[in-house]
Amino acid sequence: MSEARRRGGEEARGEDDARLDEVARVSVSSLPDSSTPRLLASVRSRRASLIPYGLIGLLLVAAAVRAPDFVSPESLRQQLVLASYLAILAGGQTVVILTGGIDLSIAWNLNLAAILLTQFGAGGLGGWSLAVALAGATVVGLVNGVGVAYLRIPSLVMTLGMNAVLAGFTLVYTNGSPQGNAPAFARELAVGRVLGVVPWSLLFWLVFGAGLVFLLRRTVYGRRLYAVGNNPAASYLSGVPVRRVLVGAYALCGLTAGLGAVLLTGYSAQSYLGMGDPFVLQAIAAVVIGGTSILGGSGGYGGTVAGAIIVVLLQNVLQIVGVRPAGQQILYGLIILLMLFVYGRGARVRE
Amino acid sequence: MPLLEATGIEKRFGGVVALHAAGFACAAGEIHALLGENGAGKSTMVKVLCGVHQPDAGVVALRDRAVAFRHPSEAAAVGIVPVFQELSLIPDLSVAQNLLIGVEPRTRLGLVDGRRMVRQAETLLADLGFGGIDPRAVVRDLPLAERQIVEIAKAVGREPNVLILDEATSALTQRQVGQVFSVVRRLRDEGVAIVFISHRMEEVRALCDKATVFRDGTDVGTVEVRAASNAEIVQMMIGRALREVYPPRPPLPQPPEPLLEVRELSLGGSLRGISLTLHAGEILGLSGLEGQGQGDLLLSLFGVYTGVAGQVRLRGERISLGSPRAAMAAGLALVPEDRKTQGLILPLPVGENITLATLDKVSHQGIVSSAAEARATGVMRDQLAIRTAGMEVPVRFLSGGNQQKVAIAKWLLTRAKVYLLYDPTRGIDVGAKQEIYALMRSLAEQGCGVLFFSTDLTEIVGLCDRALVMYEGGIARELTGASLTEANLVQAAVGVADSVPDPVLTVPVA
Repeated sequence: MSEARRRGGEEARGEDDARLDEVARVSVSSLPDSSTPRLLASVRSRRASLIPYGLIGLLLVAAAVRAPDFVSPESLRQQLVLASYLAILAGGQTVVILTGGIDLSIAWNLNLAAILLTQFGAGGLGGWSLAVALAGATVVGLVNGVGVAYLRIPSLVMTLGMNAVLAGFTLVYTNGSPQGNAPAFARELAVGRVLGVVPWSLLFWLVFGAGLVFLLRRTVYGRRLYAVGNNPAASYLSGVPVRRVLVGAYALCGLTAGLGAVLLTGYSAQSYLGMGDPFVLQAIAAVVIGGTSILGGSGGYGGTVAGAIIVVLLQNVLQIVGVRPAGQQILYGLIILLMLFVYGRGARVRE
Repeated sequence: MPLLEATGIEKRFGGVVALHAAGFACAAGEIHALLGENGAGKSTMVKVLCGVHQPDAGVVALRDRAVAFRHPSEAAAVGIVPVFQELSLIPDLSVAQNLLIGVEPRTRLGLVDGRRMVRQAETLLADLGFGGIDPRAVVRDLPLAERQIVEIAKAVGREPNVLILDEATSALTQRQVGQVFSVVRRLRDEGVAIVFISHRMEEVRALCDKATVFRDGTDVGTVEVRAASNAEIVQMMIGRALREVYPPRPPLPQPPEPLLEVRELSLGGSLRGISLTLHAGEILGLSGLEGQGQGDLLLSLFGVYTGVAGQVRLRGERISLGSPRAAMAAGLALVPEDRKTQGLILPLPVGENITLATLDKVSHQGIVSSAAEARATGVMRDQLAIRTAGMEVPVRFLSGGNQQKVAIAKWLLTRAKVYLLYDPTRGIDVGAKQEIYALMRSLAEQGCGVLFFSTDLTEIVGLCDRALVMYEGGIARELTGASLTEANLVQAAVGVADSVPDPVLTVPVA
């Protein structure tokens, strides 16, 4: 191949180059007002997240046909609250998946944080319990990051191992039965409402989401994250501190596991063993359905928001439509695979 | 009657012509060398012969019967067996398993007969004079040279009619080369046709009967090796007029100010005690055939490798070779070999690629300033005439030349003092080449130093103030002034010491 690349044909190359330039021009000029970069960017990302939002509409229609009550404001508000828990939890997962990694340890990281929260919270130390839970969860993420970035352990193995360690540790630590109840602030955050109308969790989600999108799109860290996720070698050769970027991503994922723990503990008013288990696959599903590439480097939180809503709706809609739990699981898995297939095709076509 | 003959072979890759009306013939009992510069078409020809590539036109004939291989296995079935530089062995299998892969001896029950396999492998290796290699050893554990020998043994064990050795001896020691040669001569005497590619002229002289020279994808002549002089062959390899126009070379500032001083730089087996000095205002060329350590030298200087021995000083200050970040901070910049996988992040926008190395300069407290970024990328777009519909366009939509400009722009923004460029004009159109030449010269005029590897000899001759020719990990020769000619570069590149007159370069460099 190198011969071919080297060889002759200056003219042929010139033609090729000219054609490529033409492609670049056409592909852009076909979009409205190509002189506005901001608009162009939003058109690009909007097209990418069209699929998940379309799916939301489809699910709502399916539900409405079968059970009109499902689309009442109260019911939808409840769905959104549930989605907010998952979406916050999936925020860190989005960041990790953007690097091309994955974090399977959020199940027991979340669980441990929840237990710390109820235990310390039981002593009336509300603020402290929050600090301990979030710090603990972040440290776990940090260790994951060090393992992946510095010891070069594949993220799948590192976080799976971490999950097992945390599960064992939590069992020993709680002696099998977690103590205490959720602190008041956690309950308020998870199920309370501002003026009895707007759920706190939705407001929190809004702030969290805005912050995460800002981090990904507008900061140096965000730029480097996408660079590393797309091409670690080129990033390294451009002086990007690749390992620090990775550690940051896993630490962030730990932190959002902690935030998820606060919300879920508040929702169920207590902590219990195994409470994080269902959320690993759900969080990954939310990210992937939202269009973030499992290979890293492309996607964003906007997609994950849609993905989380889809996952929550899907569960409830399947129930309403009368699919039994076993069938729900099967459909759930199939939809994830289908999404991967659809996005995978898109990528190939672009190449 | 030739045993193997190729005529009128055409091969294009996309828009690029790799072979055009190319051919040669090799008789039974003949060792035939293919010679030529990098990219002259030798390797493509070999890959056509052994079924890796299918020719677009032309005929390959074996014993006067036209053959067309869809797959290397079809070529192997009629006895055409290649040995490439890139190894095809399976690293986790033993030597014996690799040697007899696909033709394993069976027991009566149809299972692989391990003991007989080891015996057969032992016999084969001993037969070739390499009895010292244990057939039970796992290939992964063997040194590179022995792996290469196993590769050759595997090919010989297939009892080929045509044996093709494509740079197959480049990893071997002189003694091992000698042993391989005696095997090859014995095969010749048994009537095998052998096609031999090597970058070492002395090997070609020692081994080959005939040589066909390739240039720009065509065979330009076949000579009896014994009858042809080095000068004649070199002349055939480079015989073309200068095509590009290079910027004028102003005299270096006097006295020359050393900018980058490299002393005794070594890296494993690939760099051997490299010392060089790059002056401010100088474009220093790195030449030689590909894979002689030029890439490793640039990467080592940029801090990519661990285990690099030696000292590097920038303006007299010793600098660390610890990481690209450290190299960047010291004032170095690297435009790497492959812009698509190393130089750029193709799916990301042009603008984000340009500022990737200087995000700290276009941001405030970790937040990227759109205005500062737009200013920086705008300046680069104007200065380098980067043709793009916008900074938001993914860089993969740009042409090769414009992509390379983006890769260079990234480093101009760092205001580096020393630019390490690995073949920056590879595969880009003439216009963009000219612009990159002019840019390199203007960097030099601003007092920067440019260390520039190119596979294109005319570039080295036309653009550089001075050139170093690398050969097997060391600097074989320094050429400057009137002695910086294509002929001298080619000679040093193939390890020929004596000097030949250079009748080609009568075209004045504009």
